[in-house]
Formats: sequence, C-alpha cells, structure tokens
Amino acid sequence: MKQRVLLNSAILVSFFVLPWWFSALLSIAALFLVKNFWEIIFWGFVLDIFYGIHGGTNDTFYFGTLFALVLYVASVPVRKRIYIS
Amino acid sequence: MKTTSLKRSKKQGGVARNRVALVFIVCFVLAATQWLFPSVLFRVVYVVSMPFTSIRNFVGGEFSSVGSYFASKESLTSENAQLKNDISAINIKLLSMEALQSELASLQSMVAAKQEKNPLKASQTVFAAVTARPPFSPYDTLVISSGANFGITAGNPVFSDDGVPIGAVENVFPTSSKVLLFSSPGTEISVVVGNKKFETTASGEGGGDFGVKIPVENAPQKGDAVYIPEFSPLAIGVVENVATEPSSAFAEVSFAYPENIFEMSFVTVDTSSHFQINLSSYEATSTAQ
Repeated sequence: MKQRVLLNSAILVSFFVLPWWFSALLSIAALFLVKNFWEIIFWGFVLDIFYGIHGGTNDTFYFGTLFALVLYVASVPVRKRIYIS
Repeated sequence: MKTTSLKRSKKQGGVARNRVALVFIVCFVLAATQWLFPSVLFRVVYVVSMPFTSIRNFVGGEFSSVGSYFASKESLTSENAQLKNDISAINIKLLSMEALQSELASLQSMVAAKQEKNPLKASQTVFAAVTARPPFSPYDTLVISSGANFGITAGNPVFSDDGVPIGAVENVFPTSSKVLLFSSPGTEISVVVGNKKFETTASGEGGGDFGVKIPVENAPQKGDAVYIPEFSPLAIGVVENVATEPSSAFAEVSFAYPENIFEMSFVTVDTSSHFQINLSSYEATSTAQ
C-alpha cells in the first residue's frame, strides 16, 4: 500500500514537472511493481484531459487512455510469469 | 488436496472477475464524467497543476541560475543557450525584413487593408503565460493562462512573444485555453516555401518540426523561410534539411519553428481574427502541389 501511494505521488509530480514520457515510463514500471495497478488507466485519462484537444473542430483522440488500457490488460499475463521481489 | 486446489481456483477466478469489474467501473465513471461535463475535469486538473507549474518554473528559473554560479560549465551552457535564442530571434527579424524588402508594394496594400478592417487590432491582443507545453504535452499543445474572460474564442491565432505564428486556440475555458500548435502530429497547413515561393501543404511532425515534399526543381535552400500565406510576412519556420535522392522527383524538406517551443513562456493571442487548423489524421502525410 505504501509503495502504491509513493508511486502514484511520483507519477502525479512527474506528470506536471517532467516530460510526458517520464510519467509513462514510471506508470509502466508501476504496473509490474504494484499488484493490479489500475490507476494507469486514470493517469492515461488525465493526460488526455489536460493535454489533449477535445470537443472543438479538432480532436486528438484519447490515445493515452487507450494505450494505458492496452498496457494494463497486457501486463496481467506478463505479471504472472515474472517475479519481482 | 483436490478441494483446496478447487477452492484456490475459484478464489482466483473471483479476483479476476473483480479486477475486470473494477477496470470497467473506472473507465465508465471517467467516460461518463467527460461526456456529461466536458470542461469540468480539465478545470479540476488545471487547478491541481498550478502549484506544480509554479515549482517547475521556480526550479527551471531561479534554482538553475543559482547553480550556474558554482559550475562554470553550467554557466557556459546557459550562456550558449541564451546566445542561440538571441540568434534565432535575430533570424526571425531578418527573415521578416527580407520579406518586407522583396514584397514592399504588396505588403503596403495588405497592411492598409488590415488597418481598414481592424482599426483596433493592437487593443485586441491578449498576452498569456504558458502553463503547459511540449515536452510535457505529448500532443504538441499548449495550455495558456487566459481564456474566455479575456475575450479569447476558439480559432484565435496564437503568436510567440517574438511574433511567430505558432498555432490556434482550440478549447476555451473561463481562465485558461488550449492551443493546438501547427506542428502537432497530423495537422496540415498551407505554406509558401523558400525564395521560389512554392505553395504546398506541410504536415506537422511533433516537437515543433514539419515535413513537406517539394519537386526537386523548386527545392529550397537550407535556411530559407517558410510562411503561412495568412500570416505573411511573419515566417513560421526555417528550412533545416533538404534531402534529395537521384531516383525521386521530390525533395524531402524538413523545417522547424525559428524559436524553441520547449522554452516558450509567454504567447500573444489575436482575438480579432480566426484561423482554422486541419487535423486530418495521425498519419504524417505530405502533399506536393
């Protein structure tokens, strides 16, 4: 639980302070360090909400959310095969 | 043993089902909130981002300048970056001056027409601080600190503090706005390239870069200016690379904004005019005319 809170806090800070790819890498690492890290979908969605263009004449689509969802689903079988102490 | 194994299997199945349900609920709640209240979530995230943006500006500004006193290499690097910025600013002015010299007559008529159309143009410019920009944004967008309360509307063109057209406002909120940069992946804009004034369509490639294919006989030189006809004579880019292959009739031309968008702190928004950006697809395509 402590690790989960720490990782989410780190992602929150990096989201606004560091380049987007750093938050993405941190979230992917969290997928394998924390059990059932569903928050990755939330962070992908926040990325789209804050930086994406929606509701106007142009739309950047929810690529962050989609990518996070795919990563989360893909991580389930991978996580079963690896062990991280 | 069999019973224990069965129980464990049933338990694991239950956990998996709970996970799927949890993910489904999270997705549903987020999608429903965004659909019902499109601007609420952005405004919440914007408020949350403010203290972090302040910290980032402090660390990027005050703190780094303190470090340069102790490390000569650091100070030289920052001085070098500053000089590069100065050179790019001078280049922008030079490009504009060259265009002014070559097209003086047409410019005079254009300025006269603009003045007639917008006598209060100067008072319709809004200054705004940039709170989010690439590389923080993956979509080549800016979040600026002025919105509908300052008269900004969707479609208003946005300029850098040196007067370079960089994009247009797409989403407007009461105290903030989102700007789509011309260089955003998938955007297509009509441009005039080089001294031969070849008109074509450039596509955004992200990170302030653009790509365009031009017939070899009309290929520009490295350093030539690129304009959007609506904003001429203000150059939006400078040709950085011209790649030609003997087997191809087209040259691959790449150009970039004359200044670094990663360091942009302030922009101006022209609230008296509108510009439409075409975000056609996310496949980088180039069309030569």
